Amino acid sequence: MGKALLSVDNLEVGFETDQGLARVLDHVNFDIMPGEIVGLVGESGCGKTTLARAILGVLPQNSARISAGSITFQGRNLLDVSKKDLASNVRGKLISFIPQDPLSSFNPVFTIGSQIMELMKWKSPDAPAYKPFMRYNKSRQDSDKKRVLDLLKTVQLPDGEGVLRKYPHEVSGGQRQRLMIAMALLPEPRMIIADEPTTALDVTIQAQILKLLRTVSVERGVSVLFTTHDLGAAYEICDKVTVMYAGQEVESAPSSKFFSNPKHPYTIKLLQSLPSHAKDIQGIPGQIPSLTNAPTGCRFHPRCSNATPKCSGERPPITLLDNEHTLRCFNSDAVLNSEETK
Amino acid sequence: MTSLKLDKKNKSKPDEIILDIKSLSKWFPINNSWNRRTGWLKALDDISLSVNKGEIIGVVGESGCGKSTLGKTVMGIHTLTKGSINFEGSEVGLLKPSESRQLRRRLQYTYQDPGSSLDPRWKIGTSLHEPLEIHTKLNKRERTERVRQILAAVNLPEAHLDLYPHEISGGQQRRVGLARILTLHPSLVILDEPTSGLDVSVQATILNLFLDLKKEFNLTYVFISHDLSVVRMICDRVAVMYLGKIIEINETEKLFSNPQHPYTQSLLSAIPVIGGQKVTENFSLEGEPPDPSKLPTGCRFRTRCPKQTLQCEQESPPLLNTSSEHAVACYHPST
Repeated sequence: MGKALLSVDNLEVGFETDQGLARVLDHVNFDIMPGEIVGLVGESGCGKTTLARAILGVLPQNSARISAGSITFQGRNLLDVSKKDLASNVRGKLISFIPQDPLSSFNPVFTIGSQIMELMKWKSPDAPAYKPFMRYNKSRQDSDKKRVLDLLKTVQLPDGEGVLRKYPHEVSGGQRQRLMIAMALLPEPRMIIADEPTTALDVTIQAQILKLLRTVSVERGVSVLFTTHDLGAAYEICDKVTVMYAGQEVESAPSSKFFSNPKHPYTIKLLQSLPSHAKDIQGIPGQIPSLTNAPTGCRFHPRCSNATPKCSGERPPITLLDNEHTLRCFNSDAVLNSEETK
Repeated sequence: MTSLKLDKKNKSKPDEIILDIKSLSKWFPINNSWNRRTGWLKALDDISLSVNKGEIIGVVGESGCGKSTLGKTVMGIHTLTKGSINFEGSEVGLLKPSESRQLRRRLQYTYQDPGSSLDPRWKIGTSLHEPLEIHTKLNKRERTERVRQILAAVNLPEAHLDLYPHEISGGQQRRVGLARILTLHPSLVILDEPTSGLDVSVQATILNLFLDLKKEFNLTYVFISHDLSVVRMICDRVAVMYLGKIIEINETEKLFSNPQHPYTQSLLSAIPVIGGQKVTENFSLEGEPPDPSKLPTGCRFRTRCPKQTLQCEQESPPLLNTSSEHAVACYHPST
């Protein structure tokens, strides 16, 4: 096992609301290895996007509170890096971002080309360090444009020149998402955070985009943090899956083990509630708790059928089952068995 | 075009057709900046479909294929351009407003996003009383009684009557939307993307609720969705649409086990199946659907179809029955 590219340790993030502090991330731990695609799966409101934003350092400043933990990226704790340094050297350079809705991420009044070239000016791998009123001379523009066109070919947009002259509304949703992937790849980052990149797309386009994302990740050795609520999409491309529930990460395992042999009661129920023609499906009774008044201990215990008094008392520790399969539960058979063997 | 009738497997109990759509077209005009019409957007083109009483028929397709337009045209929200829609023996397009109000008690439509179709300034109780006030002559006490029954049927606590829509969760809003149409005891309900935006754990309970309510209130559903695994789970028959046309229709299991239209095949192969072969490893359909205002000649799928020939370019394949339940619009269907 090599050294993790990104590791999040005991991260705690809260938001101040009128109802009190909403503890959106509660002691979250996870690692991403270089070149790995990690799926961060969970239902809406479980803290996936908050985690992604915390890594990028773009949490809303007046309400978010990071009370504990660290985010280590290439040996540096991103929480200690100055805002200026984060903006010019990390965000959009080492870590880039693919949003859920590409249409609202483009500026509608500029052509796609001018927006990509703007990005190139500041974030291209050979761009000089940021200076106010920086010139963007012709020779750099030409070489950057060539690089952009190459990249558009990589993301399978054959008519690159044509696309660059268009406005964002003139291209289809699938093409916009391809452009977003191209823009995320431009600075040659070490890691891409893809926040529900295929949720707004149709299945046939989703399949194309997932295939593309997988290909670029493998070819360029870029790690991808892929947040999604769709377990099917996670199955398609992820090497490792981490499941979150109400701000706690509950289970994390390599993809092959995760889907064939889930251990946490929530994960098991989540997989059972996927629509299937072959079996009866069951939902999970109850609903996601309010985070301002989150359950004590294991946050899943009010909806869990195996819950014991211990579950509401204290937060279950992370149990390492076997290589890389971790679990946060007191009562899963797997945990009980492994304790007996100890 | 042949109209499709689900066949009477059981001659003694013939299926009663509740909704019969014949060569329905809905074209939207495309106007230029001077408001001159420059063309038509053919959202629905020559669609024929009949729905039997008590079945769940799925309408699937990618966004922009016209499935919501179909639902809205059947409801009379859009006026039809050509063709006929016959619901329980009366022609939907030809009714006077007062008659169509009567019809709408029996034919109901649920919107995609229940949160935005509930009035944010009305309590849930007020929203549930409204359809009864419009359509029935019940007095307040009878209405309250009816609302209470419906609320129990959709598994919502009575305390929710005094809440506002933003105070309840997405799944509960969906239940309120359903309760709202069921108070009138409709016979056909058009469900437009009824599970989009729900988390899987909630989706499962809502789907089970649909099935329970269908039994309890003798409903027929037209289930419009892009989620094929949900459709496979609950529908009896499925119609696949591509750019305003039905291209294949069959009983659910047969359609999923033996799709014959090349588009149906690629659509089905694009669904991620956990534990199965990975779609990203063998998915081959390229490109995206063409602009519906500039349709290709002949078969609409030919620009992406691996099997296209000269014939596909020249004429549009009709939807032909291959058996009593199955019809496909393709010159080169696989068998």
